[in-house]
Amino acid sequence: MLEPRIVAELRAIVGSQHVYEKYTQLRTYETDGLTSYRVTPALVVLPASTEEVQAVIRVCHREHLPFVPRGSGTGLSGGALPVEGGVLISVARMNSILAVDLPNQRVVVQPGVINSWVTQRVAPDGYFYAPDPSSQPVCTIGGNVGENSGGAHCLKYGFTVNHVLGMKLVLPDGELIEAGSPTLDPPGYDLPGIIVGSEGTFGIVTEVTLRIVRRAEVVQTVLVAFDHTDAAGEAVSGIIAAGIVPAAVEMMDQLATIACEAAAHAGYPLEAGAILLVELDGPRAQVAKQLEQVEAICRQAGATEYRPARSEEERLLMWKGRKAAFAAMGRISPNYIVQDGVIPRTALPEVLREIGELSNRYGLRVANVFHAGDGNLHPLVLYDERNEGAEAQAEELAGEILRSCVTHGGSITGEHGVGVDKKAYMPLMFTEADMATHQLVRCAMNPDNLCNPNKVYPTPRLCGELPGRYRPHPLEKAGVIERF
Amino acid sequence: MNVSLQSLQAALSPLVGGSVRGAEDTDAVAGVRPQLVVEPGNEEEVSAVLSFAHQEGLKVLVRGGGTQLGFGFLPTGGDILLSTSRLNSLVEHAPHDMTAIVQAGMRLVDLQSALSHARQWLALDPPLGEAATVGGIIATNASGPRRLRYGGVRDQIIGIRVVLPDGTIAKAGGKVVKNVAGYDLTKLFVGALGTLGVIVAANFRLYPLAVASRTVVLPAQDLAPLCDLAVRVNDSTLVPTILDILSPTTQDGTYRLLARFEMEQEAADDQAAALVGMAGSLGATAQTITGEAEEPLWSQVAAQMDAGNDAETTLLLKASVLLTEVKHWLESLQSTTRSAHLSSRWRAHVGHGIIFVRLSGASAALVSALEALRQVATSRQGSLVVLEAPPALLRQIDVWGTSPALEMMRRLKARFDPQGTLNLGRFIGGI
Repeated sequence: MLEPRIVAELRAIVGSQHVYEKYTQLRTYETDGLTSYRVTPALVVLPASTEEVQAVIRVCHREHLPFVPRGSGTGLSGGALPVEGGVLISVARMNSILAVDLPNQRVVVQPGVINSWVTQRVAPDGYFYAPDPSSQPVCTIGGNVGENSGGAHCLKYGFTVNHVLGMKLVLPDGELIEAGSPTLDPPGYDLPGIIVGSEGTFGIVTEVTLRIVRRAEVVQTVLVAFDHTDAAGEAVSGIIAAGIVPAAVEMMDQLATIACEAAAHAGYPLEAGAILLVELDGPRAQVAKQLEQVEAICRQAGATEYRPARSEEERLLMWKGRKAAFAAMGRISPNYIVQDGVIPRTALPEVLREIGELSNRYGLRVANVFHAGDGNLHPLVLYDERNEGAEAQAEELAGEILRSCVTHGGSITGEHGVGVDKKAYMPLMFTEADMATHQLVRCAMNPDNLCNPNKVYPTPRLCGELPGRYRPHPLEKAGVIERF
Repeated sequence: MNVSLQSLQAALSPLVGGSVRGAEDTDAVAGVRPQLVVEPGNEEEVSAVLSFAHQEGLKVLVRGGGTQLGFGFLPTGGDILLSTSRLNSLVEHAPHDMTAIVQAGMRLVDLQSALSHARQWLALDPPLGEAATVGGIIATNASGPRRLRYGGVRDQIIGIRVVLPDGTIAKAGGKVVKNVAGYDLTKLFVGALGTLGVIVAANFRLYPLAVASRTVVLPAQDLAPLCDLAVRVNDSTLVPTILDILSPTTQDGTYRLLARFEMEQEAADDQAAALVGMAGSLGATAQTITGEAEEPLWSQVAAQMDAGNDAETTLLLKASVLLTEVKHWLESLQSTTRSAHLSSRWRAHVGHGIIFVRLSGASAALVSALEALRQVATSRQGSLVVLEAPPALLRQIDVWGTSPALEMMRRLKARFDPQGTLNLGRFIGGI
């Protein structure tokens, strides 16, 4: 319970109906896409503008109230998990596309804008917004900025960070900064580069300038079936070795294929040991030539079926099945854990074998879907919580998979973030010195650790006072440059 | 600082295996001559040098290949010059994963040559001399014409190892292309001009070398139609790797638009033909160049920017503007140059909005032209920085312009380098 005067002050800022304090309302916000963690916030506030976000945050800062930013709450690492006794600030009402500038390939949006709205808005003019996480019909740009979200098309087009040029960020003391610019290389440190992927620990973005991409002349997708994941992996390596940069290469093993087919009726071959979705885009002659190469490489690797999409409808159906993968697991298992690890692409066969062995050892099924082109694995550990100890066993297995990823030179997360879920695994990748150095940035942005505290790093660093004193530059003294 | 040169040298020598020497005139950084030059052979030695300097309150300047030492304000002091020249190996090249781990002092040309055996490359082509190192390119965020298709340094770098001013060795990112574990400090070090820490190694994603190439040259007497054509190309399905407009050479007085298509041969032919078609009447004098004639043409384009009269005072500028503002900015450049009796040579990357300009003439005229041109850029959401200026002129000009986030940048510098040990005073706002 917060003091009534604080609640009243926040109600006055955003309007009474946009502050929730009833338990039934608060419960909606107690978890994000990672439902194994639940904390009920003391209060949920939904500001509608940059000024309101600033005012709300100023109150939190003055009262030393921890607060957590939230988009749609689809994150899979507990990044939007509330803090006990703290405030949850939802950007859901800030959902306008503010500006579209096609000739400059820029779109300015508020943080509550849904990812797929951006592409929907510019598609009639031949453009798209490239980062396409599977949750794109629901997740927000604000959340994408926090998590540096990826998707199936990262291999060629990059991640959220490669498509965010600038933002307005309300710092955890209510100060507003403008980071980046609509043009390349604004002078100074690359603040957008470090703000994207900071998992909401630096403040709340209230406006984001995005880069949109011109759609290619031709987009072609093929579905290729193999007897075994090894053969599919060999085909992926062959495609990359041929100097082809596909727009996407996705792999699913048999268990994942069966689940996706049940959910989306995409026409996937159920008898295949693995299927690949390969998408190529670019100039017509380029795609045609590379498709010939892809077909030859896949057949060489032992493809049992090679099926190009014959229409845009069929292409979208192929993708619908893949994008439904996580939700589809509900059809083959009462419970599942979505894992998110990364390995160098060449380690794929070995890591898959290890996952198979782990699956046998724990007696739990693991379905595998990957962004195979960039080595991003999404093993889905299936279990039934009604079996005693099954959940703990599943979590242990999922953790073992991460260890295997790191042992092979990879990462504990490719796109879902660290959040609360993977803090404990950070030392697998980073030394104490590494993590203390990373947190120097948090100390500059969020020195009191009020904004989304206790996320990402296992031991939060105490920041202390800003060391050193300011000494004017000679040019400043001479009046050539100004200090702001 | 009251330490004598000899005692300083004696203290540093064991930290770097003897690789320390007195500085010469050629070691000066923007006119500031350090006392000593140290060349650490590994990151532990870098750490030892920095923690020594940190404790003794010495100022450290950092040098890679030395091709861009004129970039930034004059340094506020410089006792030690730390050279990365001995950190020059390719640590790992995983051709099938298309990644590489490179020490900061490796020259880009040497890296590209090593990668080319696997028909791969690091997709960076900054217009710098052969001495340019990977670390220097990261620290200065140097980019070239192909940024249009591949992005800049921040889009290629996937991990970094740095040594902080207090000697802490730290890393961020990793060696896989996709990775969101922890804050992405790699981005913060790109373009930070060595003010936060010394980069000792970096990890990159790589690209396959192109299989075929075509270059279209479109000459024109007037600038505006070429700029308008560029805007239409940007809004089309053409995917050139380079799209440039060049200032006239003295010989012919015509502007040229150059577009390079690097892809499968048949596609490159189609795209080149499509561009000529789009150009309408401008296309009448278009030439499509292939094969052996292509590289000399692009070398000549690069040389056009470098050539000049050494006797004249010259600034090298980098403007960054919106794609639709290229025309306006270039026209402003021309009128400013004319009215101030300056001469200019420029290369406008009209697909991504970065324009490099060499501006020569009298010092006073250069100073006021710089301010005028910066005003034109910033009033329309762009920026203008000075990449090269003679030390004498550096005292009179603002190299960087300002940033609305300058205060946050100061806070970052204060956290990473509280004593101002590294490259002090050179960055924006005198950071």
